[in-house]
Amino acid sequence: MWVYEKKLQFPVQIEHPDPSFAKIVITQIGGPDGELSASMRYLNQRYAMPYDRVKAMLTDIGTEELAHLEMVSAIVYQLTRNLSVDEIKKAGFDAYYVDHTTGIWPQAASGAPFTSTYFQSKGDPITDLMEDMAADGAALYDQH
Amino acid sequence: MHDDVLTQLQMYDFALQEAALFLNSHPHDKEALSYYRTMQCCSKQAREEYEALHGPLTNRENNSCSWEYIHGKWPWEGDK
Repeated sequence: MWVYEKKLQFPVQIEHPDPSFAKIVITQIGGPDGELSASMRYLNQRYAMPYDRVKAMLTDIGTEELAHLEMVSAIVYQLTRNLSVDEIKKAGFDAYYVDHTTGIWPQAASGAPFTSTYFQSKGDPITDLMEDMAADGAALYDQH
Repeated sequence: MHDDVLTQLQMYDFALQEAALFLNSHPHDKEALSYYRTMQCCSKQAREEYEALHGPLTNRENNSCSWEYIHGKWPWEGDK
């Protein structure tokens, strides 16, 4: 089971709202290489893992990804606080706002909703680990 | 308001977490285990200090006569 800790893994303190930036950052919540996808990837793949060391690793990393999800959600939440109608329109945040107002909803930057097709769970440890490397290694390092 | 006690706790917990991940794949590494134990001790101390000031961090550590867990800042709100 899990127990919630009422603190972020790392502080999030946004001084100035920026809905344009929020539109991009939200992909790290619900996009193909986002934290939700990462967490679900590891936590679902662990059942097929035969080795204790890696069972522990998948469990703990899958859990830590949830803490990352919370930080990115806090970032989007704070980036979209106290916006005026003008600020929403000018930033092009109106397309998101019309469906969710400033609620946090897992989607990619393109607006595509989060889907479990963003990760794999094949019941085969080697196949799953290859997918982990593609998702959490190469993809993110290439982009940054 | 910058919360030094929280920052300390976040630092120790991050170190503790990373040490734990390393130990998952290197369970016999004595140096790592010793580092883990040190961080465990620092984290425990920082946690007690933080909870004394801001109330329980989990719904299992509400040790007072009233229900304090719901009060105080929620993590995503920042300082505003």
